[in-house]
Amino acid sequence: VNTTLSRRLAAYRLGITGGILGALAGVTQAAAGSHIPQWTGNKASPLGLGLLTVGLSLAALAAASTLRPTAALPPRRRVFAALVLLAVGALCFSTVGRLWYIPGIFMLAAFGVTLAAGGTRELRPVVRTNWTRGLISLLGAFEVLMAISAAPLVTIVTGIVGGGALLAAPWLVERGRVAGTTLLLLGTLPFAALTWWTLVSPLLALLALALGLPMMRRTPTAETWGSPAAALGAGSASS
Amino acid sequence: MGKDAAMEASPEDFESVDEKSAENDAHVARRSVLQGFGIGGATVLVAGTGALSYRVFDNGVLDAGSGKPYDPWSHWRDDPGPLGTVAAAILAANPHNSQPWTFHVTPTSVDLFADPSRRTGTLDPLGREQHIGLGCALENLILAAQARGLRTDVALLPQPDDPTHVAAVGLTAGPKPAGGSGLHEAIGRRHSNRGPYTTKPVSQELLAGLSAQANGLSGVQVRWFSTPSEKSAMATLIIEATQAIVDDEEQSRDSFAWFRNNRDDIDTHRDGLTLDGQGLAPVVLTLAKLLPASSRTAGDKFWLDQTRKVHTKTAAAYGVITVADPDDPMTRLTGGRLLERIHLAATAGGLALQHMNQITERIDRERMLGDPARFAPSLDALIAQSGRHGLSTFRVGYPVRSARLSPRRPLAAVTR
Repeated sequence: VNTTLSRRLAAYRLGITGGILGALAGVTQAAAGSHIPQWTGNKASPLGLGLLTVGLSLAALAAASTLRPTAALPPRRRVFAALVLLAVGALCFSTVGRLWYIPGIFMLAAFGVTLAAGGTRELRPVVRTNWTRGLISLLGAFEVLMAISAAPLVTIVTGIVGGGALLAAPWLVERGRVAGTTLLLLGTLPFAALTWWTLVSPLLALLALALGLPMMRRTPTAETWGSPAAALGAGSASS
Repeated sequence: MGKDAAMEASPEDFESVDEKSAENDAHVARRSVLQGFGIGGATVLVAGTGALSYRVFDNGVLDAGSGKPYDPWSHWRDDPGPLGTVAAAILAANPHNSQPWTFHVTPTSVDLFADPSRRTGTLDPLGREQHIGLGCALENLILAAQARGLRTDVALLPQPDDPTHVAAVGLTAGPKPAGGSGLHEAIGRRHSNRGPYTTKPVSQELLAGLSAQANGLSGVQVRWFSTPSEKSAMATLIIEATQAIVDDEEQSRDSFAWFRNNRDDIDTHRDGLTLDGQGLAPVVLTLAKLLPASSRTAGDKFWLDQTRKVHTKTAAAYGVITVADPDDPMTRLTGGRLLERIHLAATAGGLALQHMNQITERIDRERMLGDPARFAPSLDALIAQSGRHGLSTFRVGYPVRSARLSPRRPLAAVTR
């Protein structure tokens, strides 16, 4: 128990430090990215990428805060926190260049320690039952990745908002199928329509709908299954 | 089944239940396997989509023509002074987008220099294309000065002992033109269009208007090839020259060295030829960017193919700038000025233009190697004007689709 708690504390500290440093890296990219291109990856739009990095770092910070040793940490929440730290830690190597080396290492270390903070056997059913949701969320992350390199602004905004909706859709369906389905459609169709000629965004949309719509139909909603808060801790939602 | 009924069941009934149970188990196992395949397949597809998404991100599929390498195209009017004339000059046509220039700017003058480090090697062994490109830049510079109300005093090659000092342009206050010059207005819209052109012919009046751009420039003219037989003969020679370049490994390598295959290269170098500039249809362009970068030989094959099936096949007319002495640097610079004027006038008139210098590249290559001249007499025969030789070749027509921007180095990188 002590080992588990100390690992959680380590993961918490690593994640919080990584999140704060990441947000600072984002601010630096936004404010001075064009003046220090060799450090910031010589990006075409440092302001947008800097702000995105700040947003993602705050998300990682929020995920890391759930690892605080004094709070309850059901398996599903642990997996969620670990995946957010992994996704942000990996993605932002593409947004702020060398500035991400230190925060990225902190976040990826936090991801590893989070997985090690407790048994891995209890994580397996969570991973198994949420695999499809994870795939859909991953597609949302891919959409954000495409959007941050896009132009003009309307495409960037549509992609980031859509990607965010797609990321959230499978996890919010328990609040109601209409909300989940709306997010799924919002996350796929506008960006695919706006960038159809890339072929990748329509493919992504088709895949997300093919995975998401049946999942939405199968998933019990809050009325039939329980409150979303309970669902977050239970780790037994069907996928 | 109720408890009493189960107690009254016969042995056959139990056998039947066992069979059903086994069938059920098999059904569940089959279903699990199918589910496993489904989830596995979906995971592979998502992973593949992730890889493609990364290519979209990394290779600028969604931001073609935007970002810092393309900023000069939208900021060339910002500076009202002499530096603004350089901002216009760097948008000029030039060989392989090598941007072979540097500028020295003072409040009363701009000096144009050749940058020897930006030569294109065996593609331009005698410096012909570099001089033409510098002439194009000079024309833009003069047009931009005039549009700013500055009178220009141009001296070509002002220092005989410094061949890199290409032009000295004195600037003095003069009358600002009442209306904007059409050529000046077209500077930010002029691009080489390597895509297909429509079948709509270009009228002789329009071609005559483009020829008139030679007024005031001594020793340079344009010869048009617009009849089917003339176009066919020119197309054949261009294709043969393209094949010869592809077959010449040194020329092929020197050409490939200026091709920027991905967005990182474009952001780093801000020069060279790009996939965006090839005039491809949007979906084809996307596929080209998603696939791994092509090799030199694959690129050569693609270029030859495009020359055969798109460039020569859809040209409405060819133009050749003709001069008495293609080796004379001053003549080359003046020819470059005419070429830029024609390109700007074509742009203003809704025409597309693509520079096609394969023939002259082979002429100079054969001279450099001391090979028997094959392309020089062929081009002279096509031009069929005594004492006139081809300096530079291009095609014109009405475009199927707009040309995309080419990257440009910033002013800070080309001024001293």
